[in-house]
Amino acid sequence: MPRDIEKQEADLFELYADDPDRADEVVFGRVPHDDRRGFLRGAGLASMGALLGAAIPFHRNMPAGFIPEALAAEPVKIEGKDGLTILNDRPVNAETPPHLLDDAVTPTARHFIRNNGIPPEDTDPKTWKLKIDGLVNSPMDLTIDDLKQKFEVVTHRLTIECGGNGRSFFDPPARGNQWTLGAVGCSEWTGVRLADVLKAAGVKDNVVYTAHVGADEHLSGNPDKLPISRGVPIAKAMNPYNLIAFGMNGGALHPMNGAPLRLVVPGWPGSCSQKWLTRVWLRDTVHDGPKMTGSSYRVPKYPVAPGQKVPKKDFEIIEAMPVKSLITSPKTGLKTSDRTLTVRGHAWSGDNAVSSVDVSIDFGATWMKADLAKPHNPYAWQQWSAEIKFPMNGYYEVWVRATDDAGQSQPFAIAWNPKGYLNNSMHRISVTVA
Amino acid sequence: MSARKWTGALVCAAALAWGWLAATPAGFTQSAVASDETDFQGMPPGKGREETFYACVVCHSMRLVTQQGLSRDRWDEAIDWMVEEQDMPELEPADRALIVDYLAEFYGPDRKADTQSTQ
Repeated sequence: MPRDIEKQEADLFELYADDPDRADEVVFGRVPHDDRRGFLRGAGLASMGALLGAAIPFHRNMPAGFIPEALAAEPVKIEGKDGLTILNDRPVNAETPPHLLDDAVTPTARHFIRNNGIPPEDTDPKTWKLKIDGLVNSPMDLTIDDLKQKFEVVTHRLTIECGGNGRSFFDPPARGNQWTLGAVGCSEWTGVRLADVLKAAGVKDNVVYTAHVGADEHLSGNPDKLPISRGVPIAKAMNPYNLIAFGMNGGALHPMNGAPLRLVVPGWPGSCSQKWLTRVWLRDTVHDGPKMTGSSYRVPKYPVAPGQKVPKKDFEIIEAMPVKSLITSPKTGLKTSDRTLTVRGHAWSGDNAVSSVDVSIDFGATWMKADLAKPHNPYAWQQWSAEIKFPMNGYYEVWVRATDDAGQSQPFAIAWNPKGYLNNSMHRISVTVA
Repeated sequence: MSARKWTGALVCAAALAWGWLAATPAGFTQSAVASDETDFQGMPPGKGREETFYACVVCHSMRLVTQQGLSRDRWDEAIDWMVEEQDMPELEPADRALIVDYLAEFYGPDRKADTQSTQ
């Protein structure tokens, strides 16, 4: 589809998002009858019909303020996102193909989305409130302006990866969104340090764990039920790189990435970074909110065979994400006549830094060291690149493998686990030289 | 725009489009249901398809289901989890059997539905 048409459609959605009735009038000159159906004036009906290329026999029934299906070419389109693969539309889950993750700082339009519930309707940053309570000396209710005034505002590049990134490669398959490679991103986040806010509230000595609460609604519609509420051990919570974030890449947070306020707890499963954040509650026990218990965001304590049944008591909570790397250029499937090729991408590792990246073009028999940049700041993914020389024409796979400063590296095979988490097996792309 | 409004708009729009194609005088709400019945979001035809569709789409889109490839046991566990933890209403035993059979048949580890989808 030509770019300008795509843009038009995005604008159409934006208009209808802001004020559907007004959009009706602006786009089609449409004013509905008092019952909010049909077209009061003929002009609107004629222009909508002209765009659709057909008359609308049941126009009197047509509700006010929505976009005709025929104009909404894509069944699912997310405003402000570009090129994402949509895995699910209710709740919204979308990932970014690796070649669209080439930027050192992931643009907002390319940051993946993992929703567990339905995002809140009212996201006005002026009235948004955050509560800090539980085992603190002085509980606090803060607006976003309070956060900006009372605490130092900082900006960091922070890697967030979904715990289930790579799940689709599990065999036997594991239940959940079938993420391939792109449920990861490293945007520039602006906010205040979670640690500063907790210190101001006064963390009591018996605190063990945080509990995070967001304003999204449970899929069942039950208003008393939270879709997800996870937390982290207090030691991790006090890390200075965790942010209560209100800015993303110099702008506002994207609505699907938690606007107007979210946690960013880099290096740990994305689910620790509660979106639409309304409350951080300090507890004297490991938090037991939805998706903290059972087998959610947990893996067996011991290695298991693919498909093995594991009793619930043998699962443990995932903490830091494992070392991993991605080839973001070229896109897999490249056909080239050039025997020299530059490959590049990113590498990251939970709470650690990456110390080396190697690439192979012979299915892992030999490896060559890639150039690796230092992280822009801790928890930012690191850029690597390598110049490859292909010895002859033919089919090649380029494999990449990162090693972190704790000496941990990436496996070729998946360490299978029942819920499909932590797949850090090596990324590979195909290149045909002809 | 919130996801709920947004999904709602799309469902309405889809219903409208179907209304035109079928050229029936059906009311707006009825055509929304009919639209879903027409394509079942790409689920292959089979015994239990309708029961499965309606049990799932109350809370989430079929896309969450059609991505999966689970054995009968794992589908059974998934339903237990949804009932126990996600406020899913308990299914009638006969319906549950139909649904689990349908899911295991088309959305088992071999992902048979991928080659039989109606879309």
